[in-house]
Amino acid sequence: MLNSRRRSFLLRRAGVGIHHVLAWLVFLFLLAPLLIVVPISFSGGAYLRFPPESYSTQWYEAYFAQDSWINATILSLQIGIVATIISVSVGFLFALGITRGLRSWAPTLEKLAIAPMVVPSIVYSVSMYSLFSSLGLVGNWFGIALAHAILCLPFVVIVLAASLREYDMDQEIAALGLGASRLTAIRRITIPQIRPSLLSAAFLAFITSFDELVVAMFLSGTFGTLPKKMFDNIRLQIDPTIAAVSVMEIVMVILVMAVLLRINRANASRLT
Amino acid sequence: MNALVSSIRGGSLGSVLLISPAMALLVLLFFYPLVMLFLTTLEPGNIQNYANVVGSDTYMRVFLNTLRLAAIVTVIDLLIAYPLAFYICRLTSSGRAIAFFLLLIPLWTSQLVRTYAWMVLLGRNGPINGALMSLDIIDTPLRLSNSEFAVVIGMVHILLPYMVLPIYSSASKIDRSLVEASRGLGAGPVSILTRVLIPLTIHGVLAGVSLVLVLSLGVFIMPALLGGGRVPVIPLLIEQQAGSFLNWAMAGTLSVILLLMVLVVFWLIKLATKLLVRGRLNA
Repeated sequence: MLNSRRRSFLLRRAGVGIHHVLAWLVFLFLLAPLLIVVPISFSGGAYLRFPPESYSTQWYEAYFAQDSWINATILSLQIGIVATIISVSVGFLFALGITRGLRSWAPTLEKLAIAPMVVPSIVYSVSMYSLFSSLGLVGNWFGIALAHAILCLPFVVIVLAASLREYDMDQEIAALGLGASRLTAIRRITIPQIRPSLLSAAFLAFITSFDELVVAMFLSGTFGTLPKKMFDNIRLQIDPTIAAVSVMEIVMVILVMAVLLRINRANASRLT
Repeated sequence: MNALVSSIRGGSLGSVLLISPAMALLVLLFFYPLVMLFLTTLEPGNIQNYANVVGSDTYMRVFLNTLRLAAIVTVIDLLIAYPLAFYICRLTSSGRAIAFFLLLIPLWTSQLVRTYAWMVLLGRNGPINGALMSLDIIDTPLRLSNSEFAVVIGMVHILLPYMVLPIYSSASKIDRSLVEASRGLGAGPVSILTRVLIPLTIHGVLAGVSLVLVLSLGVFIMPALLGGGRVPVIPLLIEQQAGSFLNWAMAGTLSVILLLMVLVVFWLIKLATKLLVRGRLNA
């Protein structure tokens, strides 16, 4: 006979066990789709089949052999880098501004800068199309980079404002007291210390732009970014080239994450 | 020294200069085009579109379907994320690092890649059908893709981290001894959950709910690719009007309505937060 104390102890143990199993099932659910594309990208057949009947690297070769894939990738890299530079530089200044002054206005200003995250990208794209078509900017890659920079800005501001709020400002004050100018203090004291957050912000901005489909669909005109090319490819025919592209993107993300986590180990939660 | 401190903390003029490049970009490339879009839909030739939309059963059905889909996805994500966030809190610091890694890899992987992966998983010859058939649970492949089911799975997958992270951040602040104390005072698991844990995490829950709800209203990729044209949502309608029919006026009107829906949802959740937090203080 179990007494009630022992029974509640066992029940709690069972609860913990179930909790454990469920949590790892959720992680499996999150990762399974990413794992599934790896074998498919090495498929030897001409059609999508799982598991593949034979293995080869033909879909990777197909990617590198086609100018349309390579050009789309280069265009996306180019747009992503420019959008990152713009959003991180104006976002960093903005985060400095709202954490170092403007006390009562800071929350409102931060909300304004985060607004692009909340407005559905299709709504934003329609509004940008009207603006860009009247300026003759549809089909201009720099226009897309500017539009992407707006979409990256919320992530940059969230990450950098959080990091600048935690940062010990006395160090900046000490530098000023020792005769440094404000610019020197920020450049030589503040920036080196929040470098992990700057890198996270830059990575998030780049990923946001590199993965953005809808703005590019509306604004790119005849040429296409990588997501647009992927979208058309998935919609028209499910050929495993897309799996090879996917695997390369996943590997890129994991490599950068591993580097960032190493730099930013103590603040893993900040990487969001 | 005080002058130094205030030059960093107070310096209003400097701060205004610092925020001006970002504000200029936001005003010129975000708020201005949105306001112009709104004003365009109110022009005499276009304003009729609002009446056409509200008077049309087809449009209204798509609106309701969009809201319903967003609600389903949000509820499922909440039910999955809540226990998961607490699970992550209990892990050791290295376990937590792994959990974050597992949570962030999908978050940072292209949405197109993940949508494609779900198309493969749920396809006729996909691994799920394959496994069910080889276990003799079914004879013919199930039609899993090109359905609302597929869209819901894809959206739940893509938006889950947005629910877990805010709940985790409020759950991680809870003092574990509170749970021990309530247990010691005779509270069962249900009352610990409803009277201790949920009130303490309500901010995180509402933040996650508003984020997932709002993002799921605007999702385009999953309905377009996993829905196979069977799951009508407003973003698809907008793309169709603009891309296929070149009816930019109607696309604009629908965009304004979608944006209004997002803002109303936000406002309702803000209201709910206020009421719940006040209710808790009075209790």
